[in-house]
Amino acid sequence: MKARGLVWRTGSFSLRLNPISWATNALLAASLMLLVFLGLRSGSLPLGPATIANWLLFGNVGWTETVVLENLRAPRLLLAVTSGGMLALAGGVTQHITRNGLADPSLIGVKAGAALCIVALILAWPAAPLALRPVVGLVGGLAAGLSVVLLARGASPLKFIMVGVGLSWCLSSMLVVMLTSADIRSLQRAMIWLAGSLEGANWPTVQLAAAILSGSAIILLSLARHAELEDMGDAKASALGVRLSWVRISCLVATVFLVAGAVSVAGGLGFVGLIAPHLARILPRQDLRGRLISATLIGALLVLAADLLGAGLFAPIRLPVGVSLAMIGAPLLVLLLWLRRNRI
Amino acid sequence: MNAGALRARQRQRHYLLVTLVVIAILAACHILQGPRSIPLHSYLSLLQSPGQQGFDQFVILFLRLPRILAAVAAGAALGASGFLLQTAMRNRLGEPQILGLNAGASLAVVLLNTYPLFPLPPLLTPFAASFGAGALFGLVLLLSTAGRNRFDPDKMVFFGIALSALANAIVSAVLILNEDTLEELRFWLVGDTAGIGYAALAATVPTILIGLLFGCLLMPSLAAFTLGETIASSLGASVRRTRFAALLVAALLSGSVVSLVGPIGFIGLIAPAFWPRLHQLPSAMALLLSAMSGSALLLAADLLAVSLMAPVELPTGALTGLAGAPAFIWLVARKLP
Amino acid sequence: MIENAEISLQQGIAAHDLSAGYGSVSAIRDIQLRIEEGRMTALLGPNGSGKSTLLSALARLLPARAGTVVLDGHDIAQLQPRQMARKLGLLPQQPPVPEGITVFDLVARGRFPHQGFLRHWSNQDESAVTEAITLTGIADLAERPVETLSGGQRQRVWIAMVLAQETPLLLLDEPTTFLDVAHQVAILDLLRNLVRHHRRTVVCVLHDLNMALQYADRLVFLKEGVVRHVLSAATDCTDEIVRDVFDLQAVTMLHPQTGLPVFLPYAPTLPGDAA
Repeated sequence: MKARGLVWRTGSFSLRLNPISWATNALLAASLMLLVFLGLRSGSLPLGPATIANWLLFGNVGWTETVVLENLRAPRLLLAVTSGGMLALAGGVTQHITRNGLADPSLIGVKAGAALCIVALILAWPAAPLALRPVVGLVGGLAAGLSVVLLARGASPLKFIMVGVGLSWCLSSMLVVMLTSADIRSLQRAMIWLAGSLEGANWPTVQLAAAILSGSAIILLSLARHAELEDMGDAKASALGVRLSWVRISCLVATVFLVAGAVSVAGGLGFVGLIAPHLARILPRQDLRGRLISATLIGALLVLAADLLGAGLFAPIRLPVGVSLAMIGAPLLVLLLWLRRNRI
Repeated sequence: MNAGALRARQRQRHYLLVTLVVIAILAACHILQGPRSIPLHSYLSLLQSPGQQGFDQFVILFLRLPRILAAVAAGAALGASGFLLQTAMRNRLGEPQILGLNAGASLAVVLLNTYPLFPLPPLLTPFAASFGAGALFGLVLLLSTAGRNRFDPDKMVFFGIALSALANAIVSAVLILNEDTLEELRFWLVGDTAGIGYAALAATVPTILIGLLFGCLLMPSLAAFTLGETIASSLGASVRRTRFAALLVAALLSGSVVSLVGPIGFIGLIAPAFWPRLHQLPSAMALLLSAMSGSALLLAADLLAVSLMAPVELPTGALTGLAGAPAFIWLVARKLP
Repeated sequence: MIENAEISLQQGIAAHDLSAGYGSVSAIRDIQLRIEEGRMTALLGPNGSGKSTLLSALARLLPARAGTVVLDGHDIAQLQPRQMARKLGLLPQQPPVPEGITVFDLVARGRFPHQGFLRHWSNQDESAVTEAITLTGIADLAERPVETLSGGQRQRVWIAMVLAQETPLLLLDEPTTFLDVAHQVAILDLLRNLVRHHRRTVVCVLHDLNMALQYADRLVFLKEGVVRHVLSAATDCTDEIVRDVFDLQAVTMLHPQTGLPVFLPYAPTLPGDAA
């Protein structure tokens, strides 16, 4: 018997890769790029593939095309990709740490905190620049996450989640109170945001999202090797030299940042965090790191697809991405469960 | 029954007493509260000569009292439903919402309101809600009983969550596109006890009582669940059937609630968690305690709804989080090891 | 009869005045114990005597409330987790089996303390895993998912994993408790083989007194959180010791083949029993 995968050794260093895992993720990444390409082409001004290629490689296209591509489509598509990836990654980590397939990053109260602050902003200062939303959201989300951690310090995962859920509900309550006293226009605007919306897509927002995603991804993917051993129980994992509390805290902090960031830039995109990791599990078996990468890519694909469909299906009305995401994601999940009904 | 269980039973009796007192106090505060200030002697004259009715008495009897009763009934049903669900699924994070009832009700009401096949008077909202709740739950049940393993609660939860998300998404979409519906239903969609009449109460309270009765009857079989499924089977409880029955009763209870006051969340999750060790010794007493805690919580939320931003009234469902969560977080944080 | 601990210890593991526990109660108190190297030591005692607690404290799963544990001359509280993992391998009771993992991959996880960012799979890793799998006799099961194996096979996989870790010291918490007799014998044979021919030190918590007597080089009896007896030979075990530790009446016999004692418990006749 031998270890699976390809191994390279030089001196005291060695590298081991799982070709199936790499192939799977490469395929997902390629699909993602293809979908982005298609997204750049579609819209009220359809553009041919040559134009897109030209723009990407040389920037040599007409002025209208440049404006459309650079200021409208590209940021929006990239925002869809990054926010979907962020939530999916957070969901994958949360589900692994809580060992619960029903765990959703919104359980820890971060989403409610970010939503509360942003909706407060929308209602109190409707004319505020869109760029302010991510900032406010991050602050609110981090504050909520921190509160949960402080309140539930040292508790078992179940207690931790319950405190998170309690805080979530409390904040949601305040949110609803705010909403019920708002006028109908503000209410609608807030609802659209809550449903998940990519309206505020611009380059600074995309850069913020990308920064948070990369930073958190680096932390989480490095820790994946350690966190993976938790599935043998705390005793065995500690006995192998895993610093459990360190790993868990780091994962938690990274998750809080991911969720706060995603909610701040894209609104209340529910569901991605729940469903993307499950879809990643149907793919050929990988270790935790590979699964997290797959989940991230799948999340990006889902949100991107939802946005494109939401724009195209009911044209000229553009459905908020969160709504079309649920409308695609829920039947997908139902189908998935139905196909595996004998397995569960 | 060993000494530990006896002591626990005694303790639960005390808790029940405390809860009932709290309910009484809350109800009293509630009935005294309101935009119209009613002097005390109006209350007294109502008790002394019920036949005689002035406007004050009208307000007390037909505006304030029904909502108090609705809050108590709905809260009890939610608390019981949550406890049944959590015990049957052996998961403390279970909430009646996951069965898909709330989402189904919202969907039906919103759709019928926006695209009326026939004019829908507000009186019929409860029926539309029940219909929607039952239909979606039925679909969840159908999907989760298919397959080789027949009924599996985890599958049911997944389907419940997925279909709830779908229904809620459609609701959001319709509301965003249709301002009028949003304006009309914004309170109902969160859950509200305002405007409930005795007719609605008469229609739903019997169902709630029947649900509570069945719940109590099921508790002894469910109590075996805490020991694990294999042991429960060996004790003679038919695990599958008991679990299925418990979930049906939970659905019945929360379905009644949604038709009475609209989709209210959180109470079902939190009421069973208020008292320590309720889950370790499930019994009819524990179920009642959970139910009464739910009543107290919803009544508190209702009280907050009318008094927080007086004279403006808020929908009850909006305040469940504010009423319950701080106490809940304090409880959980305090009991931490 | 308590042995004196030697303070200036360079190798092996020893507990000095060790107290540890869960919650407000200390399950073990003032333990003085030195584990002899290159031997199999069995920890025995009735339920609740603190055997598992002692093992957990030695493995640093539980913090010491009082006293210290010294491993290779270092206080374990000062050691880094990886350093600890290279000296001491632990097999807890019934660890959960990760979904879908194959035997080879699970055993390979034992190499974690020796691996790193750019050290994914060295030659040493490969040979350690291969040897561990061969030694435990599970080579023909290498590609199968662990979940599909029987209890006895699974236990051998876990032991292979601890072996692959290549630690001089192995601690096992009730490795034979849920196995049938044939598998119990197989596991204990394997452990004795590791001690005799592969220079490992093994400490295991065992439930079965007679099995322990047949295999262990040293026996430590615990009762109510303290060490009651330490025996350096199975032949030193008497029915007084058994009565003291287990509150059990027993009759001693000598195993016809090994000459080691076997204890047969009996209950005194109660009035009303049929003669």
